[in-house]
Amino acid sequence: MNFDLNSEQIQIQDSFARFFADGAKSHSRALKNSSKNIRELSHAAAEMGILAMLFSEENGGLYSSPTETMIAMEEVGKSLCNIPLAETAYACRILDKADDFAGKDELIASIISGEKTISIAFDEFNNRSNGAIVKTNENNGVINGVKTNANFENDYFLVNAQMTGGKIGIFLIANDAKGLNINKFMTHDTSAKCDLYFENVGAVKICNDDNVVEYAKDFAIIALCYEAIGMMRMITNLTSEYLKTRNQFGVPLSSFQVLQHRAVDMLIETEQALSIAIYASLLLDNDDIEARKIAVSNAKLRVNNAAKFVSQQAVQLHGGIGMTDEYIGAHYFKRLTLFCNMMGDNYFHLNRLNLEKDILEI
Amino acid sequence: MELEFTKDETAFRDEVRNFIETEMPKDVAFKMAHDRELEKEDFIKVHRKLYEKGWATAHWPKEYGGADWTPVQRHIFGEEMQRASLPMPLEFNANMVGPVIAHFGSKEQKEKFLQPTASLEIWWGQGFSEPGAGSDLASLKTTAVRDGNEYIINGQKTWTTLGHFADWIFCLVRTDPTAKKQKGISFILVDMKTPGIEVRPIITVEGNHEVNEVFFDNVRVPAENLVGEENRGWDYAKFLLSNERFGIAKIGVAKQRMQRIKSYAKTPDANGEKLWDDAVFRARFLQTAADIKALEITQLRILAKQQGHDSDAPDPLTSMLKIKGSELQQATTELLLEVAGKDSESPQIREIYKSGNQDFEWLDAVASSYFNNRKLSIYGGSNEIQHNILSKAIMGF
Repeated sequence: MNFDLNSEQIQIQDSFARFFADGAKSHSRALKNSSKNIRELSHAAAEMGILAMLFSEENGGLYSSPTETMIAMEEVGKSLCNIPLAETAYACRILDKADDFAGKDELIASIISGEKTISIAFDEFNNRSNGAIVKTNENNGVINGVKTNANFENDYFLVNAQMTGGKIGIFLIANDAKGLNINKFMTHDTSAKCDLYFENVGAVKICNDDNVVEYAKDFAIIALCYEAIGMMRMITNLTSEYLKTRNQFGVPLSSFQVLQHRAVDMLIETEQALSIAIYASLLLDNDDIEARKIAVSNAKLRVNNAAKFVSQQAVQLHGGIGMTDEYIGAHYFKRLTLFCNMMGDNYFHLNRLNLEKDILEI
Repeated sequence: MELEFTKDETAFRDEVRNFIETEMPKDVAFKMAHDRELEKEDFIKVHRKLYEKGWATAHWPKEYGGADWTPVQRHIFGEEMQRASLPMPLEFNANMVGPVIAHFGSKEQKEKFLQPTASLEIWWGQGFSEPGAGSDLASLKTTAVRDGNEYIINGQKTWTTLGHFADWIFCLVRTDPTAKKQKGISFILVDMKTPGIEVRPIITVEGNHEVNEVFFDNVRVPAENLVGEENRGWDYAKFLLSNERFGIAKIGVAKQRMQRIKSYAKTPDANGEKLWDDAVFRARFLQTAADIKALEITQLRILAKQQGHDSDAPDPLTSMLKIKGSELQQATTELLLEVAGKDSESPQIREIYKSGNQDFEWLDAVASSYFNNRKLSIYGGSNEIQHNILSKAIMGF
């Protein structure tokens, strides 16, 4: 039993911490125009080797364990960099285990180098079950339907669609494909998102193994959790610093016990969130799929709860300042709020746990 | 990063599990598993078996009966005991006064006390809290005045857990009333048969006799019973409390109770309905289970850190284990009470199971366990005190 990073991972952590802290100067979600040049940051991140960590050696990558990606995600969270890395990881982990198709090696090589970008387009509008029901369909290599909430600024999308016979397949579609219309929008956390309208779009099937997709999703969920933990860590620190420096009634706010205890509760929630995310990350590559699913849903559930508590208390303890657009903590608050609904809200994960046999055995 | 125990650790766990399975009294485990009060003899039965195996005082210095366990081994032992619903070796002996005498006691004290303390031939009580000294323990007022070869003790201790079973009591007493708070306190050992001691029961909310008041009226104690140096008692008390960190979160107990909650909730009622099928109940259950899992890993993270550094210094993160551990224990007793519902108070149901119907036996102590376990967030440094510790040590307030 050991929860320390190895020396190589510590190096990775140091270099990502610097990279994202630096990147935040021009790509922080607190900046209005941060969604304009996501590609620039993605390209630089790929050059740092972040995407290589998502592909196995046989595909030209450096994958060794989920931990390296999780380290990067925590730094993304701390820095508040506007980069949809968890969604990219989702697509990359599918691609890594995908069937062979023409041009696969070249595609993966161009993604690892940062020359091309890829993400997922799985969400559909008014679909509370978070992707369990797919109305987009494929017939003879042609896709019709609508996807929502995909990340914009990507060269390729992985799209799931119902095939003839009802099975779900994953299809590769370029962003300039004929018959694809894209409607861009920006969310509260300044993510560049889009809706995708498919009208007889030709597509290549790359995978129809549900286990691969579910694995990749679990991987991405935990990646997202680590981003949230980085954010929680940061706003807990910001809050404690604020309490020490802000004076009222002639004394620092940190001298009031009720505020001290609330800040301690933020710390406890962050540590509990980290613990369960660590646990799930160590089970991602486990052969016991049921154990993995339980761990991942437990993690998202627990991290969601922590994210809500910590982000709400950060705003509360900052008082009026916490409500302002100018204050960086407010942007962490928004991102953490949206996080709770991404890749499965509490209702989704409670339902997923309900399907499992015995969550306490594991 | 590695979640698994080493080969040796797994082998040790299997050894503990096997010993518990073959050697431990099943009737005690049954009582504990159903949250019932244990008799004095129950504690002794379990403790003696462990003593004979060399496990009652495994964490003591090796020369006094310790087994040189690593922090992980100690953790595994605790988890397995909790998993099997067994009481740990009596903490007043094994975790409190024993290590203090072993580290700070005189040669004579070691010879006289360590062996019977380890074997539980002497049952120790803890005389720390007073009516006016709870969270603010250092404000204690019980005095010990030197008179020739004796100390004369006057005052009152309270919340003395299982003090009615105690043969001896270790007390914090004020030996220098002029010194500042923590400075004038000494650590002294007192025979409960000494004239002038009176033990009065305190009945707690659930109706049980677990704690006591202990009155000292001109109690004459030989001066040789003072541990270490006069007026250094606070240091020894701090050393003693640092031993409390192990197993403080009682994850094994929470998990065992969750299993029971689940199996009871899956039992159909008279209408054939199960609480388990209620989505609201199940959501609460699952949320609690996720919280317990998180705390289990938090505990392992702290443990792995201790294992790596092998330090005796108290880790402030232990306060986190105390806070979350007690909250989750309480959450499980609350869920259990919800599963039992109004039947937990029904005399009719009690008659049914007393006549031999074991289906309802579990209802017996559900409510009293809920009431009793409210103590968890109050004793051992209340959760508010633990917040103060974290606030100072980690947040730097």
